[in-house]
Amino acid sequence: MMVNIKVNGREYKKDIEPRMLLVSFLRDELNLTGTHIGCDTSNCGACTVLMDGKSVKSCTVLAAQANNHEITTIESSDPKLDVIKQSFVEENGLQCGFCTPGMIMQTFYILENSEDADEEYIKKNLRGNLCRCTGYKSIIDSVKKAEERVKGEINVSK
Amino acid sequence: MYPDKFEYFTPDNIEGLEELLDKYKDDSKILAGGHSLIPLLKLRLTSIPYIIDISNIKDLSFVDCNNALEIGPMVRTGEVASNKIIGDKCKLLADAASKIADPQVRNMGTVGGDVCEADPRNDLPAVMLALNAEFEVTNSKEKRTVKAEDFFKDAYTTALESNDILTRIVIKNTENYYGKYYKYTTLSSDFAVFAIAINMSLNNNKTVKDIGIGLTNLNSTAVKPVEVENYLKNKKIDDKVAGEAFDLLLKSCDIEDDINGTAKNKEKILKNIFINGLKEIYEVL
Repeated sequence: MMVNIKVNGREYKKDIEPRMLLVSFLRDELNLTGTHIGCDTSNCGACTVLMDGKSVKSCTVLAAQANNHEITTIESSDPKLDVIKQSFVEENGLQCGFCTPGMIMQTFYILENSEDADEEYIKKNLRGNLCRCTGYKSIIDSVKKAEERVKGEINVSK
Repeated sequence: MYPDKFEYFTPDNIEGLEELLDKYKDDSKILAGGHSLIPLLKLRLTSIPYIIDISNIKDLSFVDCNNALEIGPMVRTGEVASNKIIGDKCKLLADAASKIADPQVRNMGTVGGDVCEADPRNDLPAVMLALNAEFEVTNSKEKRTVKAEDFFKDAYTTALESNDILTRIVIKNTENYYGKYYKYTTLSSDFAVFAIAINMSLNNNKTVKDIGIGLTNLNSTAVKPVEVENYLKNKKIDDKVAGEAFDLLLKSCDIEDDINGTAKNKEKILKNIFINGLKEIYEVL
C-alpha cells in the first residue's frame, strides 16, 4: 500500500506492506535509526516518537496508521529538542544511552503540554519509559533543567 | 517482530465499515488504537486476514453532553482523562482513564477498544458497569442498545457479533454522582492486579441513593456485584455496613494464588481498598 507520512517536516511517499510497524518504517525505510527498538512490546518506551504532537510507542503503531499524519523523531531539528538534549548531556541523564531517544521525546511531549511540570508530574509522565541502567534521578534532573531553560527562553523572548 | 500478513482497510464512514464487516465477517477485526490488537498480532497469538482501521471515521469520535454524557468509541483514553466535559460530568471515568497504562499508550488507546476487547485486566469495562452505561451497537441491519451488564460475557467475549460496531457510549448517572477508580498494581506492570470502580449519589438524609460498583480482574470478566449495590442502598456508610458489604462482594470474586500474591493476602488488600474507598467517596459527597 502507498503511504504518505510527514517525518520531521519532510514528506515521504513509500510503498509498504500494511504489517510494517512505524518504528521499522522510520529505521529501515527512512534510515532514521535514532528511534530505538527496546522491548518491542510497548513497555520500555525507547521507540517513543510524536504523532501529530502526541507521544506514541512506534513499535505498537502500524506505519499504515501514521498515513497522512505527522511524525516527529529524535532527529528533528526543533530548537526545543536541542535544549532538552543539552540538558541531558549536562545532567548526565544517560548512561548506556539506549533509552535516551525515547526519554528525550517523552520529555519533549511533557514540556509541550505542561506549563510547570513539578517532579511528581514528570515522574507520572515518564512512567512509560524504562531505563535499565536505572539512572532515573539524573534523568528527572535533566527534565527539570530543560524545563527551566525552555521557560527562561520564553520569558526572554517576551 | 512482524505480524502475519493482512489486508488493511480504512473506511471513512460507518456504511463503508458495515460493508466490509458483512463481507469478511469472522476473518476481519476492527482496529481502533491497536494497543491490544497489535501486540497480539506481533506475538502471532492471533492472525487476522482483514484489518479494518476505523480512525478515519469522524462519526466515531465525539464527546457530547445533553441529557446524558455521550462518548464516541474512538475517543483516545488520554483525551477521556483530560476532557473538560467528562471531567465535570463523570469523575469516575476521568479518574479511571488517567490510570490506564502510561501516557504514550493513552495517546493511542481508545475508550471503545478498551471496552470491546474485554480483557479481564482492562480498566474501562468495570467502570462502565459501575456507571450503568449503555452501548449503542450498529450493524448493517439494525441499531440496538445493550446495557453494560449484558455486554461483558466472559474473558475477551462481549455481546458483539462479528458484524456489530460499538457506535456510542451513553452515561446517564452523572448529575450529583461522585466516583473514583481504585486500582491496585505492582510496580512492574500497569495492568491492575485488581481494581474497584465506585460511583455513588446520596439522599438528603445522607443515606445512599444510588451506587454502582464494577470489579476489574477479580473474575473471568469485569463483574457488577448487584447484591452489594442493593445492600448499600438507603444505608449510611460506616465501618460495620462497609464490612458487611465486603463479605457480599467476595461472593462475586474468584481470587486465586498467583504471581502477585496469595489469595489470602490479596483478599486483605482488597478489603482495605474497598472499605476505605466507600468511606472516602461517602465523605466527599
